Amino acid sequence: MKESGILSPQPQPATSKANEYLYDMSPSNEHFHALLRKDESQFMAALFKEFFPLACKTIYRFVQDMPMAEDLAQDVFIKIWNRRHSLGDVFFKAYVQKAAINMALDHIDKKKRQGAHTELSPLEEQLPAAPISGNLRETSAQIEAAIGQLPEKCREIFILSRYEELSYKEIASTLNISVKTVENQMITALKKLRVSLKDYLTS
Amino acid sequence: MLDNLDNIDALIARKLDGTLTQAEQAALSEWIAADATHLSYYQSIQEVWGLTGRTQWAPEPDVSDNWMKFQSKLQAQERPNELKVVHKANNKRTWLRVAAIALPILIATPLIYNHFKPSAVEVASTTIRTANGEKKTLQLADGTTVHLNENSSLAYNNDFNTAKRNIQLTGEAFFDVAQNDTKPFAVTAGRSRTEVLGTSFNIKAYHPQPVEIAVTSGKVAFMAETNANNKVVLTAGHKGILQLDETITTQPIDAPVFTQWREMRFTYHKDPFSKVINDVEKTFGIDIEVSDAEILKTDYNGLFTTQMKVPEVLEVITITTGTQWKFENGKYIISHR
Repeated sequence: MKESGILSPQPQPATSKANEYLYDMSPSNEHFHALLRKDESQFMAALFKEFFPLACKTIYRFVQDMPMAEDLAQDVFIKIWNRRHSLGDVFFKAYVQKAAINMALDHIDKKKRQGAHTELSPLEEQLPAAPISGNLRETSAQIEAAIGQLPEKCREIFILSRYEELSYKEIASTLNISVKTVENQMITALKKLRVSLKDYLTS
Repeated sequence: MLDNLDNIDALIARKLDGTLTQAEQAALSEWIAADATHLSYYQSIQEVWGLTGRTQWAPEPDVSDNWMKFQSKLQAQERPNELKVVHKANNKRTWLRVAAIALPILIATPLIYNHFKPSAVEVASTTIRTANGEKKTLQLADGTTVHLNENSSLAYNNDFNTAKRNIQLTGEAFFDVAQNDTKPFAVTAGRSRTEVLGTSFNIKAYHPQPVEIAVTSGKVAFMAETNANNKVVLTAGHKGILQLDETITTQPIDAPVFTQWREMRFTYHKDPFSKVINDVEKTFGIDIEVSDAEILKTDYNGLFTTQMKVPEVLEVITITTGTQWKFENGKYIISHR
């Protein structure tokens, strides 16, 4: 479903939510458009340099496998390059992020379809050692592991909300589900995390 | 009230999304005030939300390295008929890459290019990669054994062992190289190049740390990839480090090499923070600067393992000591929050 979704010419309005906080020091969105008109290769290099880490980190949160995330993030930019003539007046940061999300979700779907020998999530195989009696109040590794153990759809929705900062409405349209389902899955995620992260919670 | 929980949950979810209406907010507040268990339920959900927001848990990719691989893919795409798909039966993550060929050519060139012209020679290549927590042991066509650590990848041209034995490594691997005096075995990792005839050694090249090689038998030549004159010859029991400024330093091996990344666990109970910093520096081969000597004197309780990544380790040790870390000019800096 997402294969043709986001990267098809569907210009992202420049008034996107990301717009508000994004550009303090980085090149402006208009700068990228100007560069694209002037010199495609320079545009690509600049876009890559600016947004590759964003794409890669977004994908990593879903696939939790760095070499794979890097590979898929490179593919995101291949797609952008292939569509460079029909980008319209996209807002690049949001565009790259959405493309990365779709790339990650597609990858997960594909992996699921291959079925049979899906590997155990590495996190299930080797959870980091339990925290030493209450002293380690929180660690990213534990949080990552707990999120990794959520049921798949639940996990995707939680990551989209918490880390990609999409609204429920945006999540619903990305995943082709209802807002009600997003709400339910969010609460399910939070309740499960409340149990698995109980050592780090005070209440 | 329990019947209402579904509805209440929806309100709590909407609250986090920022889409709660005034009427809904009033209903939620009323529900929370009605019972102490309601309040603690609500607080615990809010706390989970807050806790999970304190981490971004994604490693920093090496942009130049990925840029080169991106360019290789573009070249592959533009000349599809010259490529041959390689399929490793037991590994669905192995597929054709041309990255390995393009890398040596591009490695010294700056990030910004004016064109994407394909290079003259294109040979199919194979890449083997490992995921987070995954390790692989491989036997190459020449009889060399490679143990690949997690989050690493190894690439070679499919003409490996016909004339040369060239390997590209990112991450960490232990090589037990089959002797062949007529075909030198060469590993390119990060900005380093290592040449051997037959020996065993461990290379660690996780960006952005310096590249480190530890030789456990035989003799190797270790050099900067772009400058073969910047070279040291290392014998068994020695390690060489290609620093970020491209100088090479050597020192005796002070800890078991290969066994180290299999699993090592450091635990602390009321130990001085300075000891932790010291261990992290030694284990991961990084430099850490602490802005205030007072920080070093604080007691530390906790653990890290060699299975964790540097940012994870730093996150753990800074969160629990109320400090913060950043990476600047090839150095990690820990300071007061």
